[in-house]
Amino acid sequence: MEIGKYIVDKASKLGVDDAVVTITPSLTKQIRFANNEITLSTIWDTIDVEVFLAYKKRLISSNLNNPSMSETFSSIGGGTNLTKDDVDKFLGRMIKIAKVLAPKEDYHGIAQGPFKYNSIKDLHDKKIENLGEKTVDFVEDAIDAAMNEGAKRCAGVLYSNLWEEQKFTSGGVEASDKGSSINFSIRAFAEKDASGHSVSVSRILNRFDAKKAGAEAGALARQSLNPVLGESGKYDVIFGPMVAANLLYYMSYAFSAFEVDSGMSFLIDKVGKKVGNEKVTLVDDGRLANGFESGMFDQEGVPTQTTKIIESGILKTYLHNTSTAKKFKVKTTANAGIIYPQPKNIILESGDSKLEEMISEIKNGVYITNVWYTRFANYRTGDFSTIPRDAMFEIKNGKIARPIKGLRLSDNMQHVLESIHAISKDSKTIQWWEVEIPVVTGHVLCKGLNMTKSAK
Amino acid sequence: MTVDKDLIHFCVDSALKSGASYSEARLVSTTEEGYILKNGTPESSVFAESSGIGIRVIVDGALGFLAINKLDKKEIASKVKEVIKIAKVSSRSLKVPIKLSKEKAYKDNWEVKAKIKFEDVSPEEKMKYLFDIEKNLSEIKNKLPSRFFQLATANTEKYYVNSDGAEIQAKLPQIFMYYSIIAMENGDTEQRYYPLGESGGWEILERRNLIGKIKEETTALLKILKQAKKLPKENIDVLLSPELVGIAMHESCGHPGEADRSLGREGAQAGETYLTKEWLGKRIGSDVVTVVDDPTLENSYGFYEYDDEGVKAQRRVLIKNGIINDFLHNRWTASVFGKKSNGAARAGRFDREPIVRMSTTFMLPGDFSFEELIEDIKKGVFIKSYTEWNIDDKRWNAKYVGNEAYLIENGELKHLVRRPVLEITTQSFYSSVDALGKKVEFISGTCGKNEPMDPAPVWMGGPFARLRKIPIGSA
Repeated sequence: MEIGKYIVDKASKLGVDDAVVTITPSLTKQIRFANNEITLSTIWDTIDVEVFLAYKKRLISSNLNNPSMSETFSSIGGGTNLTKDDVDKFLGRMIKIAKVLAPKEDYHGIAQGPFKYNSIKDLHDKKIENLGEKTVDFVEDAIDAAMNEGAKRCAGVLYSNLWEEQKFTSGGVEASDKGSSINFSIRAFAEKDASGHSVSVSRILNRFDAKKAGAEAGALARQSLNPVLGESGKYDVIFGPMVAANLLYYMSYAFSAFEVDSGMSFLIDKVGKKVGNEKVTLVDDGRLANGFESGMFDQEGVPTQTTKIIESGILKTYLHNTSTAKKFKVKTTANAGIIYPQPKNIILESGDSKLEEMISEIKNGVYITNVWYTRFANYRTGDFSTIPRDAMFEIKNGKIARPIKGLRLSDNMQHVLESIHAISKDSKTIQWWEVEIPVVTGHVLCKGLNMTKSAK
Repeated sequence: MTVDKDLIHFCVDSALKSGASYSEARLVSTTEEGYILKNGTPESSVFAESSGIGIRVIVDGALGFLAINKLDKKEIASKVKEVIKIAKVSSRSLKVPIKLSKEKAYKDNWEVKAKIKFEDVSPEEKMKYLFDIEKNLSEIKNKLPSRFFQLATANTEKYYVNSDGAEIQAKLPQIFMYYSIIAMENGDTEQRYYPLGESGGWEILERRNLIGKIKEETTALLKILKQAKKLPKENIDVLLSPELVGIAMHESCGHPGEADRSLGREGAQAGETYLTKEWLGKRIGSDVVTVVDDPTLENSYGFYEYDDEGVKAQRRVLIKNGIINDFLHNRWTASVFGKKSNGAARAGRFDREPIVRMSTTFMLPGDFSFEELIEDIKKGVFIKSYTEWNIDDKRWNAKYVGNEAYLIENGELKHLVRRPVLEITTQSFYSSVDALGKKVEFISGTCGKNEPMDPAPVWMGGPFARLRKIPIGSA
């Protein structure tokens, strides 16, 4: 703890206006598997010391690396062995650089604390510290569950993670937080072109269920056997939670004040305006109990909060840190990123529908269970396309007609929000390789989206 | 960086002592600088250093990996033991033990020399480069609501040792420049982004006229907005620029040719591939199509002399005259295929497992000039640059959306067309190519693969390529 405070104090003495130091020791374990076999077991044992400095509006993001190969770090829970001399040399070098940089004239500083922090439920579980061989059991049980549902082979990953975050700022913040997480992603394959994917994401062990994820992935693989090529056209489309999460994650750049300021967001000049169907209420919650990215403070040390981004279809706010908030003449939403504000846990508020009800009201539609490779033809307008992978079904006259393949969703992000017609009651947290920021969502029915396919 | 060779050997020995049948340790140390100019205003500059060790072991036929930046022998030894313990338990799931192909154990040093070292160019000069781009756009700035320029430099040093006796030391300077621009006319917008990455020093930016290119492409964006017409969907010829050929080679030849993908190892992340071992020797495209992946091209962004398993870098011929010829291999996939590795194992950082990655993937040239390629096109479209693209996880259905594109009529370039969409299967793409330009050009990219994600610097490219009778039209 001492080294963080020393860096901030010394930086202030040297004329630095704002300093933020974040020390993060972490221990992460991973088990990867493919073809029902464990392909790799990994341990990451690291400690990072990140430093942000603002010197007369000249901004530097840096880190303090281990100073020499022979010196030692203590283990998790401790600090680094950095000496005052290391820090003095580092700050001297950074300030020298800062003096020749050009100023960011629209930089408005960091938050002034100190702050009071209220704890959040279910973010740290000691049981995750000592899982040992149990992690292999989780993987094997999930594979078995998928196979019992009809899968022929499975691939995926299990992570367990423990970390601490120590925060010191020239705004008077001296705080620490700690967390744990366990997350699992499984893709089950039946025959050629038939597959299903599911995840289980939690901060605590008793809300984690790898077996259930395995069974879900296996069932989707079985249900999607022998898919036929789908046809291009306008469809009513049901997004499974992994699809809704993917699109909400990929559109979340547009919520960041950084991208609005960059001129890249499709939501520029739309605060207070209708950007989605009235059924759409979208929240960022940094304080969600068992929230995958929940924590007591943001990167500036501001206590996290719950922010309605879209309420009943109306855009309420962008996501801010202290500096962007001042520029936009609003209050920070505690989403620092000192440079780039971003969501913590994106939540699409539940509706009152069920998957079966959604299917029953569709005459001509498509049910997509997973997508990847979401890319934008134009960030400013939100024109994008994304490709379904895993189980996809044609819906005819209120019923699942048959599994299909080979289609692509080519549409516009705001149009997707506007076309949302129903949201399911049940929801789950999605976070995996394709969805880096956790999204809590259920099934979503959109009316009239554009599906395309390769013409040759 | 002073390389503590003793510590790296300690890592390898410590794993063997704890029961590993194979071990390797890779120290990676990187010094990075980064600068951003956003709509004329600098964002935070980045000055970062990182170093750490990645240790990979095989124990009881199972693979384990430890990434650690606490460079202390006691801590390393204890965590190595832990990795070995969990790998031993995981070995019960294996039907076949993991083996690596037998390779010559090289002891060597390699280095890409910067003519102008990054540390000899002041932060002020680096930032000035971005301000010069902005200045060069000043006349049309009011029509560009988004101007984002990024410059990054990195010096990486590696020291690799494995228990087979390989020992490789490497030094690699790399530069990366990225720009993204949105142009607006009467409320209508188009975007252009472009990455440039090379191995070498500051001289790269002096050699490349990026400032001029950005102005030229931005002017083109404004023309697209004013002049481009929609292209009705029909079966016509398509002429692709090296930029389009490059992205297609990366997505629909390089990725599907990664042997680990073919073996299902990336199934839950970067996906699988249509290519199985049985495809070797089978036709995917026309005779003119030959595609290679080559890490040895001078200054290329994915350049290396030895891969991250100590295997010597070499050119791989993935498609030869339209026939599937080879996969990209690391030592594990090579052993499964019963052959030698062709040196495609890479890891971007110390804390990532080395897996099969591309380097520079490109189509070899033909002998046509640009004029010869278009002269017998009755009706077609020439796509010079692209914006959105994607491909399914089998690498079969691809989509490339044109940015700057022109109608071709009776062998002549006509007006601009708006966002033509090439949505095509891999086999149709390669089978439709009938003629190629004389000269190969490259674009840069950052390839995404591995879990967790490990962005890898790559080049991709090819000549101008003519595809006959392709269904294409505006979005």
